[in-house]
Amino acid sequence: MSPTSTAIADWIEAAIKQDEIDRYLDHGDDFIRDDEIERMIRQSRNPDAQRIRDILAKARALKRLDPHETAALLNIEDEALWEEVFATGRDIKAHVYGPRIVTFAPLYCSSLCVNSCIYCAFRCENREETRRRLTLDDVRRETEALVSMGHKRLICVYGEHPDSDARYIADTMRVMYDTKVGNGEIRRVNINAAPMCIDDFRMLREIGIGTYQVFQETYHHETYRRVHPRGIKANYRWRLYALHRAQEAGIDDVAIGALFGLYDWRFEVMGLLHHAIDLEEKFGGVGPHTISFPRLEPAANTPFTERSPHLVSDRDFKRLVAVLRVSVPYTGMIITARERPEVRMDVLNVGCTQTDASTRIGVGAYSEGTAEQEGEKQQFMLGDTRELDDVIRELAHMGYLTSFCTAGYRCGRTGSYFMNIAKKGKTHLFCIPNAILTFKEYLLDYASEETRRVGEQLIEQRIQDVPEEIRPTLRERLKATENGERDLAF
Amino acid sequence: MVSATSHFDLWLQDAEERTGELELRGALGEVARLASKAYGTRLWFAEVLGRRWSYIVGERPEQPALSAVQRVPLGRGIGLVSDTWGSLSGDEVACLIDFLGRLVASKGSP
Repeated sequence: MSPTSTAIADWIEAAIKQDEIDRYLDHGDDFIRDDEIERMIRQSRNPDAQRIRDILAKARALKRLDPHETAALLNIEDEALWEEVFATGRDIKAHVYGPRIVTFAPLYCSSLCVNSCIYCAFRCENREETRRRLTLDDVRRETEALVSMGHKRLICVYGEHPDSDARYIADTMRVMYDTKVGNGEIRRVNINAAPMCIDDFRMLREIGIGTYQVFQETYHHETYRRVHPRGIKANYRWRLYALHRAQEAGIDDVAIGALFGLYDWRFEVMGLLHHAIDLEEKFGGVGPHTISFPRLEPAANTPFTERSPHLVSDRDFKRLVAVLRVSVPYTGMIITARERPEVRMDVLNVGCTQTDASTRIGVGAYSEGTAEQEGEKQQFMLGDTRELDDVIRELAHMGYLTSFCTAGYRCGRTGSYFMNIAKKGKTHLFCIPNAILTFKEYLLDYASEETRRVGEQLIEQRIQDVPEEIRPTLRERLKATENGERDLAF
Repeated sequence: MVSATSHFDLWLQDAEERTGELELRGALGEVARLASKAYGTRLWFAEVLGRRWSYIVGERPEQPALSAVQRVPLGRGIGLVSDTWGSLSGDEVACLIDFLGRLVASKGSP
């Protein structure tokens, strides 16, 4: 039986713990000062070319940029200078991560929601949306479908509702981790769910959460208030400090994001940077594990998505991704199947490190759905629904290894340890051999003949990117993988 | 006759004395440091949370070792990770793991 509106109101009232916001404030203020950000962007207009090059040089040295430096990049007018920003993004990605793209699939578990976000098809007022929460048997079937495609990493998505609370999330995680099909299994479950209290985060940590991800949507206070008129999500600061609470609960891999199209894209980039800085300052240098930058996409019965005055063009989208790349050089960046294939592949090149494939976002869509998108069952409409094998083959043609690696968080390379490696630009030393090994597993267990052929050639090329002293061990492990061993890693 | 094993026994005795008064995190970090110095090992410790092993203390190698990463649960939700046992023999590694298990059991959570 669904909870009554009174029960939901009581649940909202009880959910927000004011002391778990106040403890992170600085003299009563949060870290987003709208006026200061607007002023900084305004005052950085017409930046000098030499200043831009100095800023890019700092980024190439893998130093996180200061807000006034990012503001200057956001104000570049000269196309040639933008090309230099793109090139810097490419170089930073190549230097820190190497030619690999970590690949995952989203798994939508529930579309029940108590919120009223005017841009989202899951908003509670949208009566045309078909609501559903997966049973644990459904979760097992969905996981089996994803494992059978070759996926090893999931990002699981839950609407904000008492029926999909932390306890439900924990139950679904257990099922996902326990599901096996042949050689396949899910090795890392990341969670995208509504903000919760520290005790609830501790529960998810105990079960082995990968990364906890929550997007602020917009960092601009007034816009946030306008697009979230009611519901628990109307509380800006409860959401803003969700990742602080997760960190305090011991979840040391957290992920930030903004929904581009709600407000000025330059402001949102500055908001993301301030978020990263505040996490680093308050948690011993451990900032976000990844940054996401979804764009507003059309959604069923949700006209705002197509009439927002701040929709971001393809040109500006590429620019904002590149500026984020150079502003936080050591943080992973996620481009998703919201984007059309050509946009995705173009933007990937300026610094993205992760993407999804074979994406379905209807609740139950992997095991029950068709290849067609079903608007009334989705949060929004996707731009790219290609199968995993097709995406992997295209990436391989572009020179990218598809990585399903999950080794880091299963051997303690998390939080401060991981960040220490990333900030020194040494991530690729682990990532490339582990990408090769997991790519090999995919080629053996799931790939089409054509993808296997292209993939094997790519592996031979990419082995040359691995330090010479590691190559013999890597070749031994590739041989062992061919002989049936799985989950070998550095 | 002074054998390699007796050298290790002395080292282990010294490690026990040095870690006796330390809380768990400090003790584990000290063992990692001492073992690295004496035997060239690379050891670090993690909280075991299902699939996630979350770093606590110890070495933080910045590049892969030639040998495979080994994960050894020590009990009480603590795990040992090593990618290099250095010059320790198999028997000595077993003794070290046994010592670490006792350390965790006696000192509780980090």
